[in-house]
Amino acid sequence: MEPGTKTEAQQRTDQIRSFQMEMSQLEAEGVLQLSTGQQEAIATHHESLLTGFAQTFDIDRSHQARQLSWGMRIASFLGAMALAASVFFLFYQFWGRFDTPAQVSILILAPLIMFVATQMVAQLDESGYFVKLVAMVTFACFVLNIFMLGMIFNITPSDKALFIWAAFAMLLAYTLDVRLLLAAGILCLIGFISARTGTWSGMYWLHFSQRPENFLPAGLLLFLFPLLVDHRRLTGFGPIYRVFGMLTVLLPVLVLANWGYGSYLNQDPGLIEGAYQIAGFVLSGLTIWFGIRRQYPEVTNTGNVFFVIFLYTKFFDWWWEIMPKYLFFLVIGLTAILFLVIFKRLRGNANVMQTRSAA
Amino acid sequence: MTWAGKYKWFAGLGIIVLTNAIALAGVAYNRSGEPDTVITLSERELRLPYSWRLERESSGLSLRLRWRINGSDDGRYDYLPHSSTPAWLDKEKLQELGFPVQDAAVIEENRRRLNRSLPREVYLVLEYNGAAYRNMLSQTQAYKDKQQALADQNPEDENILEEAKDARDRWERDLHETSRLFIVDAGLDPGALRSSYPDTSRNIIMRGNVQARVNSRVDDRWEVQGYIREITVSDINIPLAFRKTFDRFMKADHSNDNEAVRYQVTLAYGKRYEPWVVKVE
Repeated sequence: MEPGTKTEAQQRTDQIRSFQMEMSQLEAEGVLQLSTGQQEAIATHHESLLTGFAQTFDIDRSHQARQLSWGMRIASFLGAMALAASVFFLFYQFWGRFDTPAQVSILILAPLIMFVATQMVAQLDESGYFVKLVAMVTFACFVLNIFMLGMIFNITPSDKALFIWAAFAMLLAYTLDVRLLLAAGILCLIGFISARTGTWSGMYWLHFSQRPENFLPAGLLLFLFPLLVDHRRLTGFGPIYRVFGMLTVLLPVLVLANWGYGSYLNQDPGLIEGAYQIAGFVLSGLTIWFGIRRQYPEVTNTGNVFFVIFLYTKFFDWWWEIMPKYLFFLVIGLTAILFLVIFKRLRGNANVMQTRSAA
Repeated sequence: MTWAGKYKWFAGLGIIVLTNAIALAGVAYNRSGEPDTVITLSERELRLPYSWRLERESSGLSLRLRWRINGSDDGRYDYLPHSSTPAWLDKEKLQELGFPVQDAAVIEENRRRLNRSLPREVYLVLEYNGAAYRNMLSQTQAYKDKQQALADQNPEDENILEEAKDARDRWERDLHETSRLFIVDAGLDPGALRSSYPDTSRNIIMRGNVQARVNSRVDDRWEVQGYIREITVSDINIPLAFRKTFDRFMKADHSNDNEAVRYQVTLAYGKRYEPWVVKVE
């Protein structure tokens, strides 16, 4: 099957590289010896595939190229953030010197021009690194545009701006396959949904962060979204949704497990904290199970991290004051060993099942 | 690369153009017709930001609207308006604003519910140089006279002399320096508030946030109290056309002369209760 995305092409490339290495190993160990004709046929086929992938998707053909790609990814991420900040401060530095029509014109034209530029770069840049830079600056220009319009005309702040920013970031992310913008869009969306959830209780939207429960519906929606909509053709979008969804649920639960006063529930804060502690263990346990079952490593890992945090927070509450410190850390260490034993057994079981299914 | 389709072009450009069009239409609507309020405030009510000279990264200028309240205490702490409670923002008014105040001073569960409630957006009435300000002046004058009488009776007591001096200074500041803009009422219907406060050159209606709490009084009684948390638009942008008045203060070496700055700014508040500068003198 022909790969449709850069991720799929890269996966196939890695598969070919592994196959070549294993073949060399098998030949060296005298297990398998292909005829010259077979070797040539395979090599020609692979070379033609790799050349095609390199032309279409700018994939990494070697380990060295992959390492350099990581460097480019980091540089492009930092560059995108820095350029976005630079645009913001550039306008901030000079905006007071323009009259209102000039300010408004600059603010509107900047994202329009940058949006057109983004598309032109997208057609030229196969690697995607430069597109990410330009797209991020476009998004920064649009955020600045709406934020500064509010400042210039003394407009009452509104949570609707978050929704518009989310829509724009998502549009750029989906059409250009840029994960950084997906994350930016998700953050705006979390803000918008949480603010709307908060206003149902009558509060002013800007105070939504004071009730951690406001974040729960947003987190749940984010986690479920990639289960309902297939994101396999986009690089890493599904895991980003799932991780942000989990963080948006588990972080508020962690906060409420230690600060019952922040809850909407009109109960004794101690009772609320206890309930959220249990919820924290159950939710992180469920996510570990779900991650293993559906083979989502990011879900399993995030669940693991939160399970451990919930557990150690409880240990801290129970024993930090009453135990000598050596004993406290000994208990933490022993718990870690217990976890290792449990995970080792689980891994052993998984390997046995894998062997049986292979047989 | 998954870039595809000209519709995505239109979607992107559409979001930018449409959002700006809606925002600017809102501004035009706010400024259309007769303004709800046209009011002239001085440097006492519209302050240059304390740190603006340090903000080298920004060339813009906004003035901060300074508001006050007549506290339900003896008026000594009105310089902390966010933590002081206006006498008029009582249990009945808070109920009218939608806070769950029913039996909050009596039943613990209700008290907890109210104390956990977050600020709500309401419409506030700000009165400029009116009865609330005169009331405040007479309070500080009475306090000043009382402290002066005490000082006259105890000329050796340094604490009492110091108190008398503080009270005198405060009265002087209230007379010549501090804001005369007082929040005097709140409601959910701006039209009804305007009917109650029809003077459009003295009473501004604007959005703000109010919070309710149940506090223990000195005599161990629980009392429902309201706080003004903030007004929604407190920084007023000064467009370039009106910046000349402030130019000499925008330059360096004016680190301590806020008091020496004298200006009058006429603001208009429109249909959406959002302000804009009409004149600067």
